[in-house]
Amino acid sequence: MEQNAAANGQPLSNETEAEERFDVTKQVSYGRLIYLRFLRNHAAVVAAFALVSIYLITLVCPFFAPYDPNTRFLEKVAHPPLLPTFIDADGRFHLRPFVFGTVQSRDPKTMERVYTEDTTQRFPLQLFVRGDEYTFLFWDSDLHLFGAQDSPVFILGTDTQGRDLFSRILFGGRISTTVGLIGVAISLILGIVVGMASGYLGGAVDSIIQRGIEVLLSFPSLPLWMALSLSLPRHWSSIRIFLLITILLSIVGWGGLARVVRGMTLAVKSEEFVLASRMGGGGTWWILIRHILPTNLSYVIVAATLAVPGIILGETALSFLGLGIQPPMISWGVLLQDAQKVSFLSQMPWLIAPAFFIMATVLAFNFIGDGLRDALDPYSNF
Amino acid sequence: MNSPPDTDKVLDIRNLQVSFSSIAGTTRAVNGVSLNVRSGEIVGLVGESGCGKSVTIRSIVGLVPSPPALFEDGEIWLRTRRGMTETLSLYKNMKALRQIRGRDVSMIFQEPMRSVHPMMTIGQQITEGILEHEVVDPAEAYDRTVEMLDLVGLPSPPAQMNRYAHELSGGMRQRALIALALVCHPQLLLADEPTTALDVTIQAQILELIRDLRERMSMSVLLITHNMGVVANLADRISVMYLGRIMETGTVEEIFKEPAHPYTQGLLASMPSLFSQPKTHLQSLRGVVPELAMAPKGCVFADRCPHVMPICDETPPVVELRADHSAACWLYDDVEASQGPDAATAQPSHGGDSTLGDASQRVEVIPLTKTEPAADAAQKKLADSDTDQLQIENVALHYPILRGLLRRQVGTVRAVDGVDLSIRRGETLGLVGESGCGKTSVGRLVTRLVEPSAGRIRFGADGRLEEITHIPQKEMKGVRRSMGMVFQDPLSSLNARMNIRNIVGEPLMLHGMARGSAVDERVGELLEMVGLRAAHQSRFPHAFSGGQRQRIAIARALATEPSFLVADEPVSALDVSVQAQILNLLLTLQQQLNLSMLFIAHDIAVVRHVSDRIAVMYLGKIVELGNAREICVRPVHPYTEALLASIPLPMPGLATLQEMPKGDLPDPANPPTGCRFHTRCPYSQPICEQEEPRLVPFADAVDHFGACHFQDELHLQGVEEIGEIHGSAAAAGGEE
Amino acid sequence: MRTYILQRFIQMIIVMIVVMLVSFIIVELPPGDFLTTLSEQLTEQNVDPKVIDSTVEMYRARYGLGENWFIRFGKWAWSLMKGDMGYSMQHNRPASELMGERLSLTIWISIATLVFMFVVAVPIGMLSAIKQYSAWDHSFTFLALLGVSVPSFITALVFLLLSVTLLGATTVAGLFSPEYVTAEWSWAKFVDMLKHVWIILFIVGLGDTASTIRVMRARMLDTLGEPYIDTARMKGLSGAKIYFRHALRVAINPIISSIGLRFPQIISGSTIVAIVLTLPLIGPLLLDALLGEDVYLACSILVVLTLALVIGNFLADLALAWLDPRIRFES
Repeated sequence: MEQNAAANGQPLSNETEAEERFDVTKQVSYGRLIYLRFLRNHAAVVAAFALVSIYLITLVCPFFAPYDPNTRFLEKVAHPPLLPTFIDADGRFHLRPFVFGTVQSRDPKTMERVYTEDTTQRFPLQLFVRGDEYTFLFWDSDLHLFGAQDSPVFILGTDTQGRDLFSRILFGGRISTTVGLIGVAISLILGIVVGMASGYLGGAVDSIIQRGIEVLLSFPSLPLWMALSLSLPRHWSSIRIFLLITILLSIVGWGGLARVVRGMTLAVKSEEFVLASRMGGGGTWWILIRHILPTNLSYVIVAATLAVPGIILGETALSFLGLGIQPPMISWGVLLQDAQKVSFLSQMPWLIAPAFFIMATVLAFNFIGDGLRDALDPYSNF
Repeated sequence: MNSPPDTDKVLDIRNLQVSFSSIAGTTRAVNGVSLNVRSGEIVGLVGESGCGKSVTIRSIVGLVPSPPALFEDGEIWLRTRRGMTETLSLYKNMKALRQIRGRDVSMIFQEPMRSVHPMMTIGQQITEGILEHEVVDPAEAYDRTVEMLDLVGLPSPPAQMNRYAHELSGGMRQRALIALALVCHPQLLLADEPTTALDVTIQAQILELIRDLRERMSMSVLLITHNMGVVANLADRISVMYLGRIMETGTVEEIFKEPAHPYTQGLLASMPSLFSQPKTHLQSLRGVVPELAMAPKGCVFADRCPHVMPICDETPPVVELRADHSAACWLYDDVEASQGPDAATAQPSHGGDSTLGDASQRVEVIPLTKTEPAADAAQKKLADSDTDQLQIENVALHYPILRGLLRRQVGTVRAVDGVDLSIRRGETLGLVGESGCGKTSVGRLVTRLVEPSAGRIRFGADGRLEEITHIPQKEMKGVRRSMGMVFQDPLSSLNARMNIRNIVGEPLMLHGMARGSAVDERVGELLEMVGLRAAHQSRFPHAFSGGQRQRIAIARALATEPSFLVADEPVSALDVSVQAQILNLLLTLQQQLNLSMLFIAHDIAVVRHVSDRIAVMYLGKIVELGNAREICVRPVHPYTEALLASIPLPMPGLATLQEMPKGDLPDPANPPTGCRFHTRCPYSQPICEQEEPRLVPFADAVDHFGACHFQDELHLQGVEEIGEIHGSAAAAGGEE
Repeated sequence: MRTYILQRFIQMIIVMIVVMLVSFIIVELPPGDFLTTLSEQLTEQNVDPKVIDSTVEMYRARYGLGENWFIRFGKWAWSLMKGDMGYSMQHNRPASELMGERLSLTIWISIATLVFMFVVAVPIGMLSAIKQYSAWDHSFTFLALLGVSVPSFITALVFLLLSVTLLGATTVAGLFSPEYVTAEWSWAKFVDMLKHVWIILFIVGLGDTASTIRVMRARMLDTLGEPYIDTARMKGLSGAKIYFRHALRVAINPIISSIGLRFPQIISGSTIVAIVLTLPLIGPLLLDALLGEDVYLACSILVVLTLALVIGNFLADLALAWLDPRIRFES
């Protein structure tokens, strides 16, 4: 799509320069060639950076989140987002962003809570603020990236119980994004093992596995997940539920990956280099591990990248319906539960915010997957 | 210059320049090509892959997508029903261009298998063309289509009308495509490698059809091909193209008898012919076709040319050697004025053998690490141990055809059906046949890459023959240490994810023959043995050209110092000039290492060139077996005769066989009864349908077997006899 | 052709049996004895103990509870095939009665979504391929990627949010205007539904439409690169004839054959969208059944949905065989 200006640029004026570039492509490995091609796709590179940031931030979310996800601000229930600003009520510019204070009142007619900004109160934002205590790995701390003295900062508002939505989204993201990774890892292992066995062994094994996958794929996944989630004991701890949900999602999701791997294995199996390796004395395991797996791997990585969104969305949908992750554990789907009720949504439209985080993550995965697939395309010129 | 050409020209391309812009910059794929086709003429445009001939021919009808193509200069004049028309200027006027396509000029393509629409009937596809250009009612269009199908020789044309592409064989599809192209009676047919994807006997049929239709429909043909042989018996004039430029143009006789340009000379010399001295080095061009962007300045052939001079840094002039013969080469600049030494060496003397004689200095020198076993010693050793290294008896490979949900067996593909062969120590046995005859399966059976359904395979690594038919794979691993194999496709036979050191060193590591730096050392040795640099072992396959990859594959096959090598179509995917290099390398290595070899190929000329004995295979059976030269001089099986006659030889004016084999290769799942060749055999008798002939000795020859009921009565046409009529050109073959 | 249909048919029957088996296992999976749960539930509802006993006894007999698992499976499958979907404990009514209209509406909406997907995606994808790298292509390539990334329940939520904040709606947009919700089926009701249904088709079908655009574009590009398109060009055909008569019929094949995989996704999508928008489809009933641990109802829904899919898949195969001579003549 986008072509690198430098590479596309002028016709080759200098022969040695041209030779050098050709030489570069000759010296590097296949993996590096793919990497170089990937870099040409700007959208995918941006998405990759975005995704790494999302994962890093959600990983150390206690630090990035201004509050503990369960801290309740009882006098700030259902508070709308309060975005930091630089310009005060008199139009003066302040170098340090600040938030205004708010005053709660009730609408005389509907008796709903109304928050009005008190522009006389300014609370400047500060970096590295001491706040709620947390434990990250084995490290106790109360340091947070930002906050304000004497006043809470709700950049995405609070929920019906007065908890900071932004903090909850970061904590929820930790679960949601992890489900995606663990789920795909399980799918991947299942898919690679079953797919390679199916493709390499062929015959009856292949037929049986393929029919099985067909059955699996003919179930509508969401209703199947919903039904399967019934089998999870309600009294289990939320961490066990979390793990089981992840396994459940990947059990339904590995079929597609297994098909990709099988197709690749079949294609590679008839390649002459596999025969050559057998001639050189390579046994089944040697060929599977030295030849078929590495050749498949790049394509499998693409398929896996494109499979992560499915699992993240599966978890989100299940939790959204109340069948997945159970409170007090938080995931993006759990957070969206509140948005399900029309009455809540009409009063607190900001409750939909987690949806945009979900979309951003999924979009990033899709962009990267697309970019990787294009980079692997043997017909793209380099 | 901008005036239309004289009227006897159907096509006149003038100074065509086409560039492509890509990430590597702009490259000029066609660089000043001028070419014309006169009324009723067949012109051949010959060149190796990537030389720009396809772009040239597609530019005529606007089939080159632009962008990325950029038409920088030139004119293409085409005779149409509205008079001479310049087609490059029509690119902006698609409607006018469409009216020309199919009506004034038509085209057939390289891949008949993929060029017929898979979901429309043949009839629909052809009548569509008529209805596009002419106001006729559907019934008439139908009748004309049937007539056309009949003309191109498709059996029972009305039945073909309702058939789909997948019901037709490759040859039949190409016939249907020819019918499609000619149904509106265009004056010019463009043929883009029309026979490359077909088997040799089918290729001969299609070429014959084109020749015949040219007369009947009084049209002209522009045919592009990489195979000099194809144009030798078909074209009136030939243009030779290299890296976007025309190197030489002339009548077919002059090009073949007195090639002027060193590139043409090299191309002709590097083709193994049926007249050359077997097992000698071919005169190969050095190096490989460079990437377009890497082409030398001035004369693009300079870096491979044996006559290169300092002046070659400048673009050579196109010299008119004779009325209809021109070459773009500095050697002939001012021919009459200076009969300098350079010009004299290159100026071909009459007779044709000079091209080979003067080129002897070009014989490729392969750096050898072990020089000890000279040819003498090898010869002696052969005589001493005139024992068999490999014997296969009645070996068969049957695949079940499974259908339905329960995978019931509904038939059997008899890929190999009872083959007996033996290979002596140090001997090369050539196995030749068309696609689907089972020759590749034989190669995989003897190495146990596929399991035989019946029969015995015995192999002797050193001395005694031992049965290996059913030994477990673990033992087989040990046996394979004495076997090597080279595959057809140099692209797919090297794992793109591994570097050369690991590819070539893999057998060494698997057999525990070397470890760590010892592998590097041995791989370096092997690479130098096949003519590559030892330092290149850290590179990856994509950094090498096709010919270099095949060298790497050979190095890997020889890594464990085997005594037996299976070469499965090792040169069929390579350019002509590179093909000769690889054949030379195989011959040298075989003599040096005293290898026994099973050499499998579809081209009987190539097989004859490298083999001591030849086995001809047809539908899973050996139909003839004997000494390589003898088989070609005096074939005993009609199929061998047909194969020999089908090979397009670079010898214009050779008489072709009166009776060519009819039809297509039958389905190996359902082979004909009796003699399997009887459905196509011009000499077929009633007995051939009933009784299957056995492979029996021919007359009183010791080492010549045939499987034909009438082999003692028939006197079949070989090749060397024809060659002798043409005099010294043939016999002088490859004397060193 | 006939063998092909027969083959596919037998395959469909086998898949159906396996689907039922899997569903049955899911029924059996939940911990705790089903009869105990049942009697507890009935006790909670203050049902007469005698009635409880007889109900429990009826279930024991009907489903062969306490017997071998395969006998239980046989009895369950048999009653399912007779159209007996089991009994909803929560609602105290036969499951088939509860599903009734919801089920057929769900299937119809899914089919309509499929049609919507085709009608929208095929032309867009085709045009994107024909005008590769044009502004049209770039914008739809981006929009399609966006569409693929947005799950239908989020689209539904955003739609909900917009209608609440912008239009000031207080109730959810359903399938019908309020006056028709409980009305009998009539032409007027049908017309009313058509007015509402397109937005639902859009929400449910967005993701699949986007991904079909991507597939269509890629397939069309591949097809346009095939040699037989060059053959067609050399006949002098116009662009439209090449695209529609030659390229489209080949390029569209994988989209038809992927119906079998699209349909389950659409059903999944419609399930959750129906829950968000509280539509009278099967989704809310399923959720209800699951949350209320109404095992037989939930599983009957799952089985029926899946069987509908398997049949749809079979029909798609037939359509493909009818369209593509290569498959038609295969066996």
